[in-house]
Amino acid sequence: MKRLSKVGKVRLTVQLLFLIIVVYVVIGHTLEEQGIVLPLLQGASIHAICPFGGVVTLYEFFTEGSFVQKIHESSLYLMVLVLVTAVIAGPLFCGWVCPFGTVQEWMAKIGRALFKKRYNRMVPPKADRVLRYLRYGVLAWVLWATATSAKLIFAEYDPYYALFNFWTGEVAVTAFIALAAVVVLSLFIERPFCKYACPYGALLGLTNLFRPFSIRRNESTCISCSRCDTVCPMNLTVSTVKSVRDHQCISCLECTSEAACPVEKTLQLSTPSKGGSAS
Amino acid sequence: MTIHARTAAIILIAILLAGVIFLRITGLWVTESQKVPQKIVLGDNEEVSDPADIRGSYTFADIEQHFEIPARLLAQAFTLDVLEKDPQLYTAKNVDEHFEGIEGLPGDIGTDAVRTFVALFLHIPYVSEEDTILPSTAVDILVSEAQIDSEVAQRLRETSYLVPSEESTPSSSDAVESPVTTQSEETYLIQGKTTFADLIDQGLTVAQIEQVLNEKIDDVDQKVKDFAEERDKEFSVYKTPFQDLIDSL
Repeated sequence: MKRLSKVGKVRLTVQLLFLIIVVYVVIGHTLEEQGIVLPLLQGASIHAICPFGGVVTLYEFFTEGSFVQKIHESSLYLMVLVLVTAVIAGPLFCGWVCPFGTVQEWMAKIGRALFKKRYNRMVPPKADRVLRYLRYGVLAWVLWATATSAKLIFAEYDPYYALFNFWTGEVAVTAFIALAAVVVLSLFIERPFCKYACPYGALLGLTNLFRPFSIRRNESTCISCSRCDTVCPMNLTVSTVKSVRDHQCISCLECTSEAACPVEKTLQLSTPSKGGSAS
Repeated sequence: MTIHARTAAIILIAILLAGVIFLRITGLWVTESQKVPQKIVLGDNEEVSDPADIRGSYTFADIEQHFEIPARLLAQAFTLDVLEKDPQLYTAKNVDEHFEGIEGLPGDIGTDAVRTFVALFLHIPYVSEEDTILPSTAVDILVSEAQIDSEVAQRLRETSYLVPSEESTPSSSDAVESPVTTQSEETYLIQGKTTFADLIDQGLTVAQIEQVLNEKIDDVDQKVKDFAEERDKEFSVYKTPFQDLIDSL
């Protein structure tokens, strides 16, 4: 098994921290229904700590002054906090926080062991390019369906919700099917849900187009080895661009790690430099 | 300016976790609903708070606020000790816990019993879950404080749990001798399990049913409640006119 890079270790630590928080919340919520209250997060359900809940409730919030079913103020504030990080440095939430992304990455380890170099390279590029926009369709549908029903419609199809609530009896069959599909696809494609279906990733991905801190390549020191391309979980081409502005970048920083880029300070998450290096 | 992995991690943790801690300190971090029941959207009780929306986490104070039924009366109805705890602090879920494990309980007394009590108290149509019953003390209060119809009171008494006299609070004297778990056989009551076929068996014609539904029946074995849910409507929208038709036969 490949050793983790420094970036990988730091990122895994943060991913584990947020995964533990989410698991703590969902277990706490289950226990609370049985009268056992865990400290710190009383009353919080998985919906209460989901920033995407803040996005889907915006219409209801501005038109009715209320929240859609199961969504509370906490989701709205988390949405703002995540947006702040995204506006600064892109979808760090996707690459570092989202527990469903973390789980998909762990599934990818199995896929990589099974398919070696063919892993994550199986979808024909032409189809892949088109499918990458599918998540904007999902985002539009979720926003429309939630606005017109004032209910958390996406929960019925949400594999993330299914994964962290499978024992509650509240998960719809459709969400279990979505979860099964993501698990199976993760054996062939890295982060399939993030790439093709995640509505929140679609929204946060837009910050890649204007964020001040982006992945920048120093053309003068780059040796064009293309290793950065091979480590990118989102299959982005990093080796030929000055700055990664692709809407699919999840700011995982794997391409900037010493394992991916052999020349120090060639790929960095940075603002444009005055002299043009690393930009 | 460059952000390294460690800095990115610190930024994330600082903004997200410190943000949440700040919101908690300032009281802005709210992770539970405000306990405001939905309003009824159709019928005579339009814009009235809907008892069907009472959840287990609602305190009696919440119910008092939205339905104007005193918390003390609710505690009395469900034989909760007001000396042990302020009646405002009891929750609907406490009613479940209070009656849990009582031997010989002929049905379920919990959150849905609270909904049923509130609906009956306010004369709002509500279809209880099939196992739901009320304690005899609640029926007594409905009779004395809400002046419910004597026939309804009789039906409730037939299924109620007779609270032993030492547990009950005032006016349980006219409770029935022993609990009976079945509905009265004289009057057919539409319940959650009632199908269109049941309505036909009770003497309604297909035309009458379709007139109420305002559409054709696809499946006579479908439950009326499921039909209502599929159309995002309250069960009472259909239950009440069907019950009226059956009562008039």
